[in-house]
Amino acid sequence: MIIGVLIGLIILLANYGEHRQFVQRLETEGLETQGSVDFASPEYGWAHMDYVDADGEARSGVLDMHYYDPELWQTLTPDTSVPLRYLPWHIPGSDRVILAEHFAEVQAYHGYLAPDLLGLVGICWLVVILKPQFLYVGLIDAEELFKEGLPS
Amino acid sequence: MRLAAFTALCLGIAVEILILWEQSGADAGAPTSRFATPMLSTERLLIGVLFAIAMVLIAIFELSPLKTQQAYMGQWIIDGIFTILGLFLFYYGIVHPKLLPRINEHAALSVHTTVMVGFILNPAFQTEAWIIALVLAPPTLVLLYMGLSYRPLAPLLKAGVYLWYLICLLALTLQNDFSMLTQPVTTPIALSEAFIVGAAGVFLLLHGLFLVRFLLIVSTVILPRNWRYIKLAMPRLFSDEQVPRWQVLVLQAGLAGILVFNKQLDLASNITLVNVLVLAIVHGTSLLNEKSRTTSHY
Repeated sequence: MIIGVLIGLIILLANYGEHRQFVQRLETEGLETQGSVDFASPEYGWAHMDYVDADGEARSGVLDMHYYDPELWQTLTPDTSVPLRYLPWHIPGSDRVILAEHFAEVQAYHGYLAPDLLGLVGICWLVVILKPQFLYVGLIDAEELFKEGLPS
Repeated sequence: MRLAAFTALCLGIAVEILILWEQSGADAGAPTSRFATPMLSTERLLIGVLFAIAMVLIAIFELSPLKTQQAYMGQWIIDGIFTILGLFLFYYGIVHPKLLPRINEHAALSVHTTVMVGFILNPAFQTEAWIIALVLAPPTLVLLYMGLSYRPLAPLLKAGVYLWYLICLLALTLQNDFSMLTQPVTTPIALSEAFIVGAAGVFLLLHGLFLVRFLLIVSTVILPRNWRYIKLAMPRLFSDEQVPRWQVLVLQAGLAGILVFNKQLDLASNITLVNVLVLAIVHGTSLLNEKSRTTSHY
């Protein structure tokens, strides 16, 4: 259970850190341009976008749709032109783009707090509260700790 | 980093583990006698041997063509060493916290003071220094009150103080730059600095891992029936050793003074000095506990 909570917390922190870093990079290093939809994959929640960067280079990037209102899918038909925010090629995460007009939604996104992961952490934590003996192994004499029997 | 610096780093790691190991033996239990505890314990003997081996290796690395050879994670031997170290720290940080030294409220206060002053003096936080000072003022006052009071703390309070102590160590861990381990470093690192990074790294990571377990321990107190476990567990982590008030105040002033003095004269890096002071406080407390137990036994 300790390991369950530990792994869950690590994944949550890693997700949070990755998202924060991406948003910060977009805030400080992000550039805007006009892009077009190459193809979209609603079942997996992403679209492939083509655009030309500030150096005149033709580039492409993945648009993660989890950040936005699902109704936006209907507007992203192939060859539709939309304003994009992207990162220069030398910045980590430059293979991803976002919709420039919906940057505020990306900044406010909390979807990395995956409900199933939170549920797992919550269940592990509940078990630990109800049966905390294993938390104290090595801190309390085993005889004293399990004098009421091993937790079932 | 250069092989010589890597050797110093490994020496720091090994010395810190041996010191923690020796202190865990003394902390664990029975009163020690001056006859049962030889002047030169196995751990101290090993530290001496390791120092000698490290000196020889450093001399070889510095005087041979290996001088420019870099050691960093990604090389199989370095990865192997850190994998073993990681498993070791995981076991002793999460599964069996035998190596954690016992502290008291004075050690917690001293660590808090050192990390807080280190934070304020850290050039990276210069603009937010007064905000940090303001935010940390309430815990400082509470810890100071506890440190100056001669009354032993209740188990739940001890758990709270110990949790804050672990959070202070986590804050220190986050200020440390361990990137020298993961990538080749162009600027040479002093051997002493590599040694301190090794020793402090082990100490901080061990406590950082235990913080996860201790957070869970503290969270279980929402059910009053779990309080008895805290009561039984805290003596392993927290001692009731009391120190005269003037010593507590002088120590706090001394720690802050050393850090400010260092900042003014720019003698050593702020974070390195904070690492050294924190190690000295915790190991010093553990030694004093041991000494006091030995004295009280006779």
